[in-house]
Amino acid sequence: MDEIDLRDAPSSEFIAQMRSRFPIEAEMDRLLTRKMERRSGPPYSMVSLAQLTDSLAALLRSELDESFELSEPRWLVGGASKIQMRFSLRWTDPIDGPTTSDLVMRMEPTESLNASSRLREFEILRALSGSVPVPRVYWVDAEARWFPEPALIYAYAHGVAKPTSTGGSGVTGIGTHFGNRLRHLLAPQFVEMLARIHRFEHDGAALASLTRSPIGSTESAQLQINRTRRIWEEDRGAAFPIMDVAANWLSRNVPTLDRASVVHGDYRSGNFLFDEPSGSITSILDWERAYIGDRHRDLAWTTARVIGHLDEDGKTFLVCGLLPQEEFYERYQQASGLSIDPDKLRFYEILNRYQQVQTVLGTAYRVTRLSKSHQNIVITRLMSAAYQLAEELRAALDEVV
Amino acid sequence: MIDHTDNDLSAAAKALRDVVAPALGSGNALASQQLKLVIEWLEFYRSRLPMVHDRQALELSNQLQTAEQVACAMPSNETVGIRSAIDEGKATFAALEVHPSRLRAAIGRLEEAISGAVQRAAEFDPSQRRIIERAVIQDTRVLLDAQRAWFLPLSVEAAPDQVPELHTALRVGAAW
Repeated sequence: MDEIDLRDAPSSEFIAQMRSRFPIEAEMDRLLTRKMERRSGPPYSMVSLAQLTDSLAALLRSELDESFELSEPRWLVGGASKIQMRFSLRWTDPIDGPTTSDLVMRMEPTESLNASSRLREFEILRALSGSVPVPRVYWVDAEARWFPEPALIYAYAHGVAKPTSTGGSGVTGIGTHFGNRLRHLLAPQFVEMLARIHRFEHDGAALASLTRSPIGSTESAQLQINRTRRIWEEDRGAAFPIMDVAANWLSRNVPTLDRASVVHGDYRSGNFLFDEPSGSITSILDWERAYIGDRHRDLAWTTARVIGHLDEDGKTFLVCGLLPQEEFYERYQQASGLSIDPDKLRFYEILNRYQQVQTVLGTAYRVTRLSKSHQNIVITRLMSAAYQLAEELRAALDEVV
Repeated sequence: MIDHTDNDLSAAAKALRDVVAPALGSGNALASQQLKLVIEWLEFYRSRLPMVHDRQALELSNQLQTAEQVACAMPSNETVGIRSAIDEGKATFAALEVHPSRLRAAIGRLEEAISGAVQRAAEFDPSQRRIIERAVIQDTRVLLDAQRAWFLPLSVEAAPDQVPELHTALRVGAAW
């Protein structure tokens, strides 16, 4: 029980031990250290639209020389980790001139299901604009100078995440049923856009908050192992020996990086919007887990069982409810010209399952125990998926250990 | 594996109190009143759940004591039924001796001990390490089957018919 209490109010020694034991990317280290240093602080308290509008006005006064007018602030729901407010801004856009923009403010709660960087999200969205459909980004409050927590301002993206007629899905878009027509329209775009993300030339892009690990080394994969292991050790409510078996196996099988790609980190149904009549993907969202690393991380994530479902025949598993797995891999290789290494895919399948269990069992437990989020009730519901994910992890380990 | 029942009930009450109640406002007095009662029930059972065992153990103990006194006062040829109930009650009480909090603590100590052993096994001889890791992989399946069956009504299982039935997964009625 002492260890559990320690995680509710971690000592400086515990924080230092985690940082030393699990070296990670500098930006992630900054975020996780901040999280642990603030953990013993108060729980999340409700923020009003009026408070957020005041913060927003303060940010805009610092950024804009000319006058502006904010209107129609309202909550935007969806997802389990961030607070989002939609609003209108009448202003003089340096690109479009005088206009009224439909925008979204995206902010961390006191402690999130995914401790992630608004600065990194800002840089990635700015860099990928024009390469794949992403919302235009405007401003970032990376250090919470204006908002209660770090925040990002970007364009509201139009479209739907699931069909209005057939789209049964669970929380946060997991398990979306698109129906036959949309499947055939969306699947090729879904794969082709992933290929474009992975082929994106990022060398000259302004991505200062992302670490670029050397090609031919194991550093990139090791940093990812360390990050998720550190979060598990910082957040968990109880030991779970299967996680230690997984950590042992991952440490014995760290792959080398053959090409440094932009990795989306959560590429799946629920995280893209589409125009329902035409079936065109209008925007790819939720880049908070993005980093520069191995494309196999995305490929393994997107094909997870928990995200897809079985076809009407009850036998064929559809990746993200869109297309069969083998077809997904074939289309991806054709679109990207990049190979798929089964060993690396297996490594990232196991790493991803580890990370998912870490999130929905370890972090979800700590966040809800300490009431750190505006979405505690959604997060507790997500925890019900933890054991399916843990069984996927266990079954995968059963094949390789 | 951690028991998150307390977190779940706390989060449910908090969502109703902090998000739903303010949204209702004062326009719907009946809904506001019933919402308040629902929150109180959730918080009440959250506070009482850890003592459910004690409550039932006390009741059993008390009924046994009363039954013993009543049986002693009855004509012996009329005590067959009550003596049978007393015997069954005593046997049940004997099996209740482990309190859930002690059970949880014992589970936690074992989990930490196994976890530490697996971590240390990374430095062991590969064959020795494999025996330890395989034992965890095999035995964890039983626990995960039980948890998946428990949470099935709330979960997003891709193939729900492959999840064992709850009574089977929990081995209800099995002789331990």
